[in-house]
This record gives sequence, structure tokens and C-alpha cells, in this order.
Amino acid sequence: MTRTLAIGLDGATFTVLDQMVEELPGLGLAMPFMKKIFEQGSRSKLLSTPNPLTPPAWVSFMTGRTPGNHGVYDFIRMEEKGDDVFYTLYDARDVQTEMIWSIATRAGKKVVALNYPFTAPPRPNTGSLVPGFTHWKHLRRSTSPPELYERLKELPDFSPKNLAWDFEHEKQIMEALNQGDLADWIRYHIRRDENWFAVAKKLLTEDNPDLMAVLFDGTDKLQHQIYYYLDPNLIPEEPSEGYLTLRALSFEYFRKLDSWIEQLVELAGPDCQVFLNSDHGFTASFEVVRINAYLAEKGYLVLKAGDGNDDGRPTASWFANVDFTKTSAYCPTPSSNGIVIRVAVKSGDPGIAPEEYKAFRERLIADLEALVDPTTGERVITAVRKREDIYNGAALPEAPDLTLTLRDHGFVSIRDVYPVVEKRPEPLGTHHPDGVFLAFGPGIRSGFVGERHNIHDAPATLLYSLGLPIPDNFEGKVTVDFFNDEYLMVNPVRTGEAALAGQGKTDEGSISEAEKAKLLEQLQMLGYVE
Amino acid sequence: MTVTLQKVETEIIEILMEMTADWDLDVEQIQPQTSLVEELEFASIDYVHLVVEIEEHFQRKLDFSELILRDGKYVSDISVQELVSFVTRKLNQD
Repeated sequence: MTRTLAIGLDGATFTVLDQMVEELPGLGLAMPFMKKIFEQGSRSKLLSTPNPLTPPAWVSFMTGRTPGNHGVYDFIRMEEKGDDVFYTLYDARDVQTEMIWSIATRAGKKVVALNYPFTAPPRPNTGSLVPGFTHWKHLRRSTSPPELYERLKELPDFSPKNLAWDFEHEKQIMEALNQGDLADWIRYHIRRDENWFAVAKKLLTEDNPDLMAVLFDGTDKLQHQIYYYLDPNLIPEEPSEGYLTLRALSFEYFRKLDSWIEQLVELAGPDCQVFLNSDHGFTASFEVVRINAYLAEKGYLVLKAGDGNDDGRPTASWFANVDFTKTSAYCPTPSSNGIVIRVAVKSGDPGIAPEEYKAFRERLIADLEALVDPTTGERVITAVRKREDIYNGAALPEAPDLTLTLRDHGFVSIRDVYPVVEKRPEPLGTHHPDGVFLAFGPGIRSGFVGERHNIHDAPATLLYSLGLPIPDNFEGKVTVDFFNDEYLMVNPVRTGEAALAGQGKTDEGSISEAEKAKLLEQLQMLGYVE
Repeated sequence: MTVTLQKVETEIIEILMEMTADWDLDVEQIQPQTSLVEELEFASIDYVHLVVEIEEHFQRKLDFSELILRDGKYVSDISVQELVSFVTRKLNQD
């Protein structure tokens, strides 16, 4: 009998969910089952990682640790090697702390986890796992145990292409699409998440896992493109017919999502505790901030001459055209919202001297804070945070030296295009630190709205729900306010042995040389790299 | 211990066959002259998976940047034979 059902809703925010549980003119009640969860369960905002982004946040969800300990900060990481910088994709082998799938499996629990990123290649003791963020060509080899993939083929019309990431499709995530393309985008993600639902339904029914976890990521993908049509605060005074059509279609995704959630909860049975969470929230970005263009203006970043567009300005493959011998600070990816300072390892190496680091960083912070809106005088970058102020742990040196928060929570652009700050033609969805956390079922307080919890509290809560002790090296805490007094009395929170180190390091504990050789083009396919 | 070219070729072809088993390719048999991009339809992400697979198989780190970067530029395609020769040479170093 399934004891705990975890449903991930990538990027879900109460700004959107709140209206989905209301009867709206012309749209009706999109999420009646979510309304029931609101009324009969507990919920709170869920604070994401310092950079509210899928990789660090979902890895915190899976490990109960913050990025300074689990070591994942972005989709990709860069490693400086002499005069060049290599980029490589993070994967499960980079996660430096144990995941709950493994903790629960080692404790004798049967685990199914579907579509979570950074779970491939499969590590030991992961239960039944179909990874997310994996190209269809590699889904079979990334599924664990291997025979599970053969079982998926029993599903009607099964194709890995319907489950896995379509990199060609996903790269549209940061592009401006017309309304016809947006409608296709919504339908594509409805179909894709419907396939994940089918897998979840099959394994929940046939395997009866103790912990069933499935992530629906259409919520994030849709909101990146259609947030303008979803946020009630952004509805134009006189919306066009096209606007209303897209708004209705975007509600259709949430209607389907509600039905999938309801069916999974029913299949799990009345004794199951259900937890729903996102990795971050969403909001609207109104402007583009071209941070590397600004750094170039200030002399921190130098581009090679004579490459790129007709006017000599490189845009398509920005990072290939940076002169790293002369660059002292740069932003590696839009999704990082981070600044990396180049520090010379030894005399003669490119970068600033180690003894200059602190003074250099203070000057850089002052320059970043000085980027203001010329009309209002308002700071464009509202926070410039040093890595040691927001992270701690063994992986601290891998964090960007500075992490930026823009005034609209947008992701920076790294392109060498001017002006540095430019208004978007229409608002675009971007990540907000406040995600959602909801609980429902036996032992859960009814109609309770709690104070904001942290993303790394969610896995502690799942382990507690499974009746397992919380590893004493977890940074996350059980969200005890979600549970009723009787449940807490009968099921006291227990602390147990420390979770293991990550199981990714195959030998010598260092970064594989081969990983440095990954092609630059792959980054562009991800869509998060310009 | 010396690793022979033949052994590496056999094992790399096995890895490639397993990896591409359900890719719906027109290639009937992977041979030394088979090209990764042109014939096996490798995209860069596939190359990444292959590198990981080869390293885990031979339990050695191999600096593949030497293979894919020539004169500072990325090569457009690689044959199985080129890959096999590179891996054999690296395995027999030290």
C-alpha cells in the first residue's frame, strides 16, 4: 500500500493556483480537486534555493541539502582551464549528497520516482526510476532498473519521444513565440505530461510503491511562455480575442493536471499522505538586462574582435567569443544569474591576483549596484550577494562569486547586445523564489495555511511520512505544522544516521577530464544558454 | 598491460550498438569506417553520453577534447576508427 505520494509541480505558484480554485467567469473552476486540497489539507509557500532554478532546487528537494552541500548550482558548470573555459552539463554523478530515493530504498522502502532532473545516469539503490531532463535517445539506458523500460513499452502508443526532453522544442523556452506557436506549446506540454501521468498510473497500480513520486514539469514550461496569459494581475483592461483564447487554453492544462492529481490520489488510496510541491514560483519579467554587455562596458569582460555578426559583434555563440585572457569577470549562463570572477591560480595566469580578490569584488559589487533605471533612478539589480553569504558547505568554491537578483526577478541575458536594459514587448514568465508546498490526507491538518518553509524541508517531510528517521546531516526539517496533533503524538519525528555522500564519484573523486570536452552546441540546445 | 586495437574496436562497437539500438537508424552494422554524425546521427548530447559510457567501460578518464578539438576548432565528424585509435592510444599511455 502506498504510504506517501509526492507530486512535483515544477514552477507552480499560488499566484496562478489561487485563481484555479475559484469559479471564474467564462473559465469555470479549473482545479476542483486542488480546491479540495486547499480546503481539507495544509499549505504554505516554499522558499526555493538562493538562485531559484530547477537544478539546485530539485536537487535540494531530493537531498534535503542546500546547494553549498549538494553541489549543483545550474544546468551547466564551467571549469577554467588556462586561457579557456569549458562547459559541462551537471548530472546525477555531480550530486554530492544522497538522494531520498536512495535513503528510502536502503531503509527497505519501495520507491518509484518519475521525471525528476539530475537522476541520470542511475546511481545505486534508486528504486524504480525514470529520469527527467534526458533526451529520448538515452532514456532507455538511463532508466533503472533496466527491465523497467521494457515494462513502459507495454503502455499503449509508448514512445520515449513522448516522455523525454525534446531539446529542439525546449530551446523555445526563452524565445518570443507568436500566439499560434504558443497554442502549440501548450498542447505539446499537455500531451507530454499526460504521458508521464500514464507511467505514474501504471507503476502506482502495478507496483504499490511505499513512495510514489512524479514530477509534472509542464507547469514550468508553460509559465515561461504564457505567464502573461495566466497571472490575473497582467490581464489587459480590454483583452483581445487571441489573448482570451490563449488564456482559456492555458487553463486547459491546469484542468488536465487537476484530473491527473485526483486520479493518482484515488489510486494511492485513502491511507496515503499526499504532498505537492514546486521547486520555485513564477512571476513576470518586464525587461531584459544584458549583464555581460554591462560588464564589457565597465571593462571587466573583453570580447575577441572580428567574429560573429556582419557588424563584427558576436551574438549567437557568445561564450565562444570571450577573450578569457583579458576577462576578469563574466556571467556564464542566463540561468545562473551569477558572476564569476577569474582568479589567477599562479603568477602569469589570466585573471586577477588572489590578494586583489576582496577589493576587486567590492568594486564589482559597487558597479553592479550602480546600474540604475535612467528614468526612475531605481536599481536594476536589487541584490548582489556574495557566495559565502548565501551558501555554505564543501561545494562552496563551485558557486558563482556573486549571485544577482534583478528587480523583476528575471534571468539576465549574456548577449553582447545593447542597450544594457531594455523593456520587453510583453511580459515573460520568470522564476520567483516563492514556490508552493501542499499536503493532504490522513494526519494532515485541514484548511491550514502555514508560514513559508524551505525547499529542503520537503524531503525531510516525505521521509517522515514514510515513517523513517530524518538523517542527522539533513539541513531540512519536517514541516510539523502540516500534521495534526494526534498524528505527531503517535508518530514523533525521529533523527537517524547521516545520509551517505553522493554516489556519483566513480574514482578519485575529481571531475572527469572527458566531461570538459563536451561540445558548446549542446548548451544552446538547452535553451537556457544564449 | 597493453590493450589491443582489436579489443578496443570490438568493445566500442558493442557500446555503440547498444546505445543506438532503438534509434531507428538506417545503418545495419557498425563498422570501423562508420561515421558518428553522418551515419549514426550523433548530436552533441549523444557524444556526451558516449564519452561517459566509454570512460565507465574502460574505467579510465580520457581527455576527449584532444579528439574533438583540432587546431582550436571542433571537428565536424568522427569515424569509429578514429575513436578506436584515440582510445587505444590513451589506454596504452602511462
